[in-house]
Amino acid sequence: MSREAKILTAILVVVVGGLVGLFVVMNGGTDSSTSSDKVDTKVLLPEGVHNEGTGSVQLVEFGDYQCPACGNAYPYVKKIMSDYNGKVTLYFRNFPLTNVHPNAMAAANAAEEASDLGKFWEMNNKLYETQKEWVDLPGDGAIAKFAEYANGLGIDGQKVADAAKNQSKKDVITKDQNDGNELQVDATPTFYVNGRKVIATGEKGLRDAIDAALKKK
Amino acid sequence: MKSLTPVLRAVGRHGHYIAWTIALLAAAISLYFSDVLHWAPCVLCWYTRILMYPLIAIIGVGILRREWQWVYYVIPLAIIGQLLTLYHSLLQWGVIPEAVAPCVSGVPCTTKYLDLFGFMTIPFLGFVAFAGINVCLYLYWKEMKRVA
Repeated sequence: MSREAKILTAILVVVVGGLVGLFVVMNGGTDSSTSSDKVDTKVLLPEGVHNEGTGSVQLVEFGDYQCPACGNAYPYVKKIMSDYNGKVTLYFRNFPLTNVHPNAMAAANAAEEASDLGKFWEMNNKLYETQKEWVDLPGDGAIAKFAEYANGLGIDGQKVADAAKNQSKKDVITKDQNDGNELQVDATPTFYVNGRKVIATGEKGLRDAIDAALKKK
Repeated sequence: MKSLTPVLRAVGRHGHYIAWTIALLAAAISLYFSDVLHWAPCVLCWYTRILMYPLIAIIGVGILRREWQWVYYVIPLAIIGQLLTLYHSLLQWGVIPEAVAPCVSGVPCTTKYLDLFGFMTIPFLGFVAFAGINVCLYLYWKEMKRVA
């Protein structure tokens, strides 16, 4: 082995060994899945935010019904809620990215109208589950789909369609968006666990954040 | 070379090893962030990786072959990397408005996974790494030209 090869090998061993050692020492010591800063609870969870469950861990989603990433997150959020049965409360706040998702605002209005008719979570789930059916439709086509889903849930589809078309729930949605902007939400879905932004991604990141919150109890 | 102090000349003599160590550290840490901590890289972070990772192979092979002209291939990549990470840092510090960011979906380039002392973000660490590589290789190049 040449002198150069020996030096490179030594550096490699020191760098990799040092980092592995650091990882072993730090692993479990700190929660790297969430931001260290806790946000203002009054902004994150004002009165009247849609919630499901009665658990002590607060999981807040800033979501956009037309966002593919939110659609991908939906199944594992649902699974997490089922796996952590009774330990987590899920909150939903609207953050429609209207500049890239033309049907997002109508969908948010449809869900809010469904909320008035007593079926928010059912409509929320339906919109995510059927996302691929309506994302590429023109505005009227998407609204017709929302009415169809509402009818299927046993609520007045015409009312839901009217709300989606006239954006009659815009104030509620704008309030959510403004709060999101104040919290510097910069993507959808953005999750918060007990007031801390989840920065690790995917299902594992979310589970790690919830596990860390449960451990702190 | 008269203008360089003995310390800088010493750095220059070992600049190739220091640059390789920096590139290796940067790659290892970035993989730790993404694969252990699950901090998904944004688009600009991926571009930065594209510029950083090959340096390990280029510098490493150059060292093993006892050549020094590879510096001419590495420095352009490291300069582009330095400019890119500077842009990314300015974006995260809010100096450049968010609307200019090329991210449309996925992880936004303004997401700060790390923010120590109000300025030490991941792109800033990348900037420091590329700057270190550039300085070391410049001194190494000067030293090699002197002895050649």
